[in-house]
Amino acid sequence: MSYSLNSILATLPRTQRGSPIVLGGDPKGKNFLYTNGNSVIIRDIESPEIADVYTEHSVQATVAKYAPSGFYIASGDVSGKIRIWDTTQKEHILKYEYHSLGGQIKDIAWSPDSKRIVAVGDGREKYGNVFMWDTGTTVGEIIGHSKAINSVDFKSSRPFRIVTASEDNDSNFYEGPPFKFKHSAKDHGRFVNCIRYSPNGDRYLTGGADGKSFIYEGKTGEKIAELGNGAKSAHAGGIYGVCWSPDNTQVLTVSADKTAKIWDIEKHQVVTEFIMGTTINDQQVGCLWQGDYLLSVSLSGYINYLDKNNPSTPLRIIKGHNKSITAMSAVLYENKSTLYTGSHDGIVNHWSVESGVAESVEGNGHSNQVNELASCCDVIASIGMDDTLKTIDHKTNQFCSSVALDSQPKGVAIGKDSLVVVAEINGVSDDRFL
Amino acid sequence: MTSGVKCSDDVVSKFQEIKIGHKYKYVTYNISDDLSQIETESTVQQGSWDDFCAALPPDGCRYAVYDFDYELPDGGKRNKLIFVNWCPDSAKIKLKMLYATSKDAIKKKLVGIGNEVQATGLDELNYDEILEKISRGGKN
Repeated sequence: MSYSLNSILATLPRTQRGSPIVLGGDPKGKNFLYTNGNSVIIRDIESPEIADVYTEHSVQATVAKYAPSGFYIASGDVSGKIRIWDTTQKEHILKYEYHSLGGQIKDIAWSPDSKRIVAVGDGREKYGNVFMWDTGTTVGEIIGHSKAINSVDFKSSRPFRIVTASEDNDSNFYEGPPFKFKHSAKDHGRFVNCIRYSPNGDRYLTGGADGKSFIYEGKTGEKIAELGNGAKSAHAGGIYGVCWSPDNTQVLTVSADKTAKIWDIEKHQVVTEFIMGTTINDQQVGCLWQGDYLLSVSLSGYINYLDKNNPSTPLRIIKGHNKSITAMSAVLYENKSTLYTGSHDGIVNHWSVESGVAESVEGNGHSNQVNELASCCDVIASIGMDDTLKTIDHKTNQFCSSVALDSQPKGVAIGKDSLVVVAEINGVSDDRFL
Repeated sequence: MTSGVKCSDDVVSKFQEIKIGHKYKYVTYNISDDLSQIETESTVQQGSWDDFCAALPPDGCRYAVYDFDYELPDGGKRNKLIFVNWCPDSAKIKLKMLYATSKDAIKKKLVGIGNEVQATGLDELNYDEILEKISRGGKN
């Protein structure tokens, strides 16, 4: 009997509190890109159950961006390597690989003609590198920053410009090619997290950890205005992502104050405000505006599809794991297959095998790594490093009971009539749930 | 440790000109009188190492970038940018502290420095010693 890959239940983006993440958009508007661990995930924006994973990075991948031509993806990792690979074929053949920086790559931008790439991040001496995609020859210098650069963007029309946003609170403006430092803008009081050109290249927008956001002229780099007109900061928390609408008239900003806002670019005023929740996991760390889709990523890794007409509820939320999965069990009940997975941060999810949609198991869950899951009929038993045995009811998908164990559990089995046997490091115990 | 002293854009622009265009022989930078930012003090197009040493004030601190030309024993011509951190003993202690803590703010912005020289007196700016240090290729 031979096996073939049916579908991939993809991971969520790896998030880290206090650092922005970059979602890569597709010029054709079909997919979007993000990274987790050593993998780059290509996900269909319309039906996110369809996913493809690129696993060729040997260390943690941090950012991936489509070339404007749509034929290649450039992805960077924590060691400073850039890999440029084919998107048209399933094998994702490597085209070029460059060692670009001495440290982590934080953002990549392609020139509109898909010929040049600028990569920024951390390094020993230089924090950015702009080079030809096919030869690796540098075509200018990204100098003038004294700390790591968080974000970069290319002007999408001629004459070419590059703008960078750095942890030294400055955003720099470069003219070229060959790209040369022109001037810096010192408007932010904290790290500048994100910088993006409008699709037509007329303006660019910054977002900083001080909650402020400024609009600049695209060709000269002169400041035009501040979002909110300076009356108060655009957001109450740091801004982690900014993205332009395809028609250049609006921008989406997402922030650690657990909100996302759409702004009118002429009036610099809020058009729509999305309130994403109240917990730390509801902080928004990245965003993408592609076609009709507005995506925002929560600190929990959940990808929210925002609804302009109904700001209080997202259209859909892609759930899953963003830490490594440590336990798995499948349930076939009433002809429906469900997969239960537990990860090392204690989260248990249930997946519909047919549709690939994940939902989290609610209730009083594990506070630490899930060690093993076992199932029989409609009951799932789970053991965790928090030394508890919990059961999940398949019908409601909630944790229903919890038993404290004497020592760390290593294995669990469940039999008829809900008899549960747990192997602990100090012996074996059994329990019966009714 | 950083002092919070910022670097003006002009510092990077002038460095770019000396690095790419070799427009100047040396550029000197100082911290502005209100101690808020690093500024370009002077740019000199022609001058020898001795002229450069003479331009450094005996009781004030400076940063400088010097376009150092030299010849290898086999006759090959070489050129390196050196960063000079001038802090004479006679300068005020407050000033010396400020220049020491602000050095990173300027040096990190100037990508492509071949060598750094720290000097507290003119005797440490001996041409032959520096030439030897540079041609060794070491980074210290």
